[in-house]
Amino acid sequence: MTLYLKLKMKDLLTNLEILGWGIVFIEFWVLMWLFVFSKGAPAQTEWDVYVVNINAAMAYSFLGLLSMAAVAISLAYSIFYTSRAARYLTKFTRASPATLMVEDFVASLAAIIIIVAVIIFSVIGCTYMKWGVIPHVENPAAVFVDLVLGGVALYWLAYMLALVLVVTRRTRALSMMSFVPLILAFIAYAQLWVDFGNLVYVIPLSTIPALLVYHSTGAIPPTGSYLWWLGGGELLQAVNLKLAAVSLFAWIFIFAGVSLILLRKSRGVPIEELRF
Amino acid sequence: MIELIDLYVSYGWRREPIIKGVSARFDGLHLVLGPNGSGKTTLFRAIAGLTPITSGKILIDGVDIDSIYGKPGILAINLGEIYSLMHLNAYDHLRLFMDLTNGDMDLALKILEDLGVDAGLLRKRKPWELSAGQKKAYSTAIALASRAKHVLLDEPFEQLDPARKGRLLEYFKEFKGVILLNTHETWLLPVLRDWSTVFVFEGKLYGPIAASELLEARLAVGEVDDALLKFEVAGKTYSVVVGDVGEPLSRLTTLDKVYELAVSG
Repeated sequence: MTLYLKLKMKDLLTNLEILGWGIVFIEFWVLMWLFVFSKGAPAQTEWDVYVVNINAAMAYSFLGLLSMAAVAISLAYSIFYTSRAARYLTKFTRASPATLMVEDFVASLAAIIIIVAVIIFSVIGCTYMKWGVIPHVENPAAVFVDLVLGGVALYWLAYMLALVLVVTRRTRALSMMSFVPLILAFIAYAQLWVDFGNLVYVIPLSTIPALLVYHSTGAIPPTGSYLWWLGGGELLQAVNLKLAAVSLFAWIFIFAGVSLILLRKSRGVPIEELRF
Repeated sequence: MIELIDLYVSYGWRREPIIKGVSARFDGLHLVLGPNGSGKTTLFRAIAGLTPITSGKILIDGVDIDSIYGKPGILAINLGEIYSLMHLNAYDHLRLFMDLTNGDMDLALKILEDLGVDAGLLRKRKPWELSAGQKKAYSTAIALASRAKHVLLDEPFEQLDPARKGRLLEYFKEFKGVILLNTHETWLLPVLRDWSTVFVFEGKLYGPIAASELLEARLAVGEVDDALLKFEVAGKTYSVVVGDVGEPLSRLTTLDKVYELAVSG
């Protein structure tokens, strides 16, 4: 292990852009979700507690995904701008390509998990403040695994996007491409109002909230229109959890596979081509 | 030893190669002299594997750089763009590079201190927040302290005051290994008399010739028989000769005139 792992984590966890968009901005929506958009009646019955639990799980699942996507934007920038130096590092330092990639991945994943954990604990804390209920997490280990898989998917998505630009030399498209994770996360977020039906298994990242909600509450969520479902609306099509998991693994496989293929073609972007 | 074999380098957006069929061997201490835009830095980037090679080969101690991975101690370069990886302060970057290269942290700090950059400043600023001279001192100190056998120094004296230039020169004289020092500053010739010199004009390499020999030579326009060196700038051939022809190169401005020709040509 080199110092890269430790310093990369320090870099991500002290980066003001990541803290601003990944935590502060999302915390604003946590407060809006729980204190403005959610009904304020105290939880008195078992049903009330059940609804509060589902509401909290939905809040940290969807807002957590947005938070992870905000971190992925910075990761895409970071991967893009270090693509040149990375080539030097992997040749003339003890950080071989495998070492650098593993340490970058582990540090980024750890940072994503820590940042999303802040969102989750703040949702739990605010839920307790408002309803006096500490949301019960049905299967914490599975929730952790879901978060790790979400982080893995977003890391490789960011990696793939940065490498597409490096390999195709489309350096001007950096700001547009780097926002793809957030665009996808907002498409997933639209499930709060829109029922995607079977499209949920096709759209990248869209099954992450379903898996998180299920493992947090034990309730099988629908394929969309979550707010309607939360309000006790008519029966909606339940998400197929196996397909949801297969979809997430498939997208991770695609993002990582394409990244590794592009990595073999990448030789970094000369500084002259970064000047635009 | 660094060996270049028929090397061509061009950037994606520019069809005209920047480096045009360069072949050379570098073992020992070398000055690479050339005007701005002649291809010196591109040549260094290519040697460090930072710029894609269009064709040709680069060998370091007989090994193709394309097959070198995870090997500290072979080569270091003082390009600032390499030493700004993260949003961390310059001190953390220094720690990182000394760790990755098995370098000498104390030596790096000593060089930086001698060049007027103290550890306190490094802790306060990110590498790109240092002044131009401090940035150059910073990347040069990392390159020298990384204990690499081959060190590529791109304009290491840029933005340094005369006293600090002198201190930096002492570190070069103490260095045991191969140095390629690229500059357009000709005052170095009398100071580094025992170094070998090559010229870069319009992407082509000319030389080597000893700095001491160069100081006693003259520059003549056109081809002269028995010239020490001939090179072409802006379509004109120049010859470096010993004798009475042309102007003495000891008038350092003569070289600058050649540079101006190359730039304007």
